Amino acid sequence: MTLARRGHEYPEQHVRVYPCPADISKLYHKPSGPIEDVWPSTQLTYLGTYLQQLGCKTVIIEEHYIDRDYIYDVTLYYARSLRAYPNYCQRIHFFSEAFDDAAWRRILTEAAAGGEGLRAATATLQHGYLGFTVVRPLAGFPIGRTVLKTVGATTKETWRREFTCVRDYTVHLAGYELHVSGLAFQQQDRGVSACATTALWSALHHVSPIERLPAVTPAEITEAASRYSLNANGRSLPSEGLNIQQVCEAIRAAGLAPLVIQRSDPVEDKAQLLGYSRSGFASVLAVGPVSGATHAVCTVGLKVGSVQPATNPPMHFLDAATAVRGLYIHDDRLGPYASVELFDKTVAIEGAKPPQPTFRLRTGMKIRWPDGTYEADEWMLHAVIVPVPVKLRLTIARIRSLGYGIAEATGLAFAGVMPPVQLDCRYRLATDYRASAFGFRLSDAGLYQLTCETVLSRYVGAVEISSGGAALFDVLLDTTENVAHRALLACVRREGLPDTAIPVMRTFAKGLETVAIV
Amino acid sequence: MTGGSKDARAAKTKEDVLTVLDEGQLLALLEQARQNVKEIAKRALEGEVITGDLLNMRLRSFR
Repeated sequence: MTLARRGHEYPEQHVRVYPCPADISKLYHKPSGPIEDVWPSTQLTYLGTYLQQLGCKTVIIEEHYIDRDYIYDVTLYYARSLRAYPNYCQRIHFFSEAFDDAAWRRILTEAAAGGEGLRAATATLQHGYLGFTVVRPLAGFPIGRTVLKTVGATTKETWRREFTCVRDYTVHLAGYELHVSGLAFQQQDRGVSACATTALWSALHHVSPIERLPAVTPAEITEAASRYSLNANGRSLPSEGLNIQQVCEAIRAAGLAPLVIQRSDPVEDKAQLLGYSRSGFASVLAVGPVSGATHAVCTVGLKVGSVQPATNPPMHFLDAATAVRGLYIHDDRLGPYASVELFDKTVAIEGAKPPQPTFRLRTGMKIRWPDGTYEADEWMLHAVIVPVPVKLRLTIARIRSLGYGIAEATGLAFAGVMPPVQLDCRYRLATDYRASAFGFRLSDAGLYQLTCETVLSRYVGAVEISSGGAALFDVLLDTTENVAHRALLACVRREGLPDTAIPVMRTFAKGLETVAIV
Repeated sequence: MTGGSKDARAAKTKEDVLTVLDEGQLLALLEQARQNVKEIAKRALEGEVITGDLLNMRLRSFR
C-alpha cells in the first residue's frame, strides 16, 4: 500500500473559446448549500448586463491563472482553512468580435509566421478586446480582479462621461500582449476584504503607478488597516469592514497620504469630487442613509452637464462644479462603473429650532442597479477619502477659497465684455503643464520663462479661469505648501486671453504678489 | 469706483473696455471681489473640519 499521491502534479492549463452566453452566470458554479442572498448574485447579473452594453460576443477562458491579489489572500487567510483552496484562479477575457476555436487557432498559426503575422494577429485580437475578469475559487465571491473598458462618451441625457481615473493595463494571453484601459475592480470576499478594502484597493490602483509605488493587495490593506486599531469585534480577520481611521492607516502604509473631507453643501461636495477626479485621484466615498450603516465605494469618473448660473449669492462668475450631474463608481455590491445620479437632498438639522435654519441641503445619491432601478432608500454622501502623494498638502478646498476671489474679480472686470467667466480648480503634474504650455499662445519670452525659469512643485494647483469655453489664464500654486495665499507661483496667460486683456491679468498678478507670464 | 467703470463700459467697444480700467481700479476690483466671496470662501473650507465621529465611521457593505 502507498499513501495518496499529493503535491506532485501541476495544474492543467487550457485556453478555450466560447460564444459569450446571454446569461454570464452560466459560466460560474452556483455555490453549494443554502443561498444566503440570491443566485445569480447581483454582481454576476451586473457583469452580464455591463458586458451586453459593451457588445461582448466571445469569451476566452484561461483555466489556470495566478493572480497576485488572490495568492496574497491565500497566504494570509485561506491557506489555514480546512477546505483546500487552490492558490490559482481562472481568467475570462471578453471580445466584441465573434470568433470560434477554429478561428482562434488560425490566428495563432498566422502569428507563428512571426514579424508582420504576429503584429496582425495581435491587432485583430486587440481590436475587439474588452478586458478580463479573474475567477477566484471562492464559492459565492468569484469576481476577482476585473478590468473592463468604459462605456461611450455621452449619456442618454447627453451628459459627458469623464473617466478620469482609468489607466492602461497590459494583459498577456497565450503569447499575445493586449491592452485595456480601465480601473481594476473586485468583489469583497468577506474573508480578507470588505467594501472599504476593495474600494481603497481600486483607488490605489490608479495613483500608485503614477507615484511609482508598488501595488498593494487587499490582504496588505487589511493587515495595514488593523495594525494599530482593531475592528469592533476585536479581530482583523475575517474582515467585517474598516472605519475611516483604518482606511487612513492603510493609505499611509501604501506610501501615500490620506485626505479626509467631511460632506458639506452639494456645490462644495461636487467641487471636491470634480477637483480630485479631474486631477486623476480616485477617491473612496463613504455613502449611506442619513443614519445607520455606511458603505464604501470608489470613484472612477464623472457625468458632466452644462455649468449652472450663479444663484445664491449672485456672483460674477460660474462654478465648473455645478456641471457635475453624477458619478461612475466601483461598488462591490454591483460591479465596475456603476452609474450614480447626484441630487440636492433636504435634511433636517438635528436639534435646530427656528429662527435658526432647521433644514440644510446635502448631496443625495441614487445608485442604479442592473435592472435599471435605483436603491430603495436615497443615499447621501458622508465623506470623501482621497489617497494623495505625501508632498501634496494644498487641498482643493483651499485652492478654491483663493480661486473664488480671482474668478469674481475677473468676472467683474470682464462683465458685459466676454461670456461669463468660469472657475475650475484642479491639480496638474508640472511636467504635463509645461508640455501643454506650447499651446498657450505665450510670447517667446513667456514660454521660456515658464519652461526654463520657473520652479514648479511636482503637482501644481491650478486655478483655471475661462470664458465661453476658452481658457483665459491660470494661477499656479505650490502644492507642497498648505496655505493657498502663501503658495502662489505664477499667473500664466492662456490661449483664450485677448492681447488687450493682458494688462488686466498682469494687474491681478501684481495684486496677488506673483509673477505674470505672458 | 465700480459704478463709474460700468458707465464707461457701456460706451466702449470690447477692446476699449479692457483698457479703460487702470491699475488702481483693477486692484480695487480685486479687493472688492475678495470681500464679495468671503462667505463662500469660508464655506469651501467647511469640509476640512474632521470630527472623531467621522474617523470612527464604520464602512461595511449591506443590502
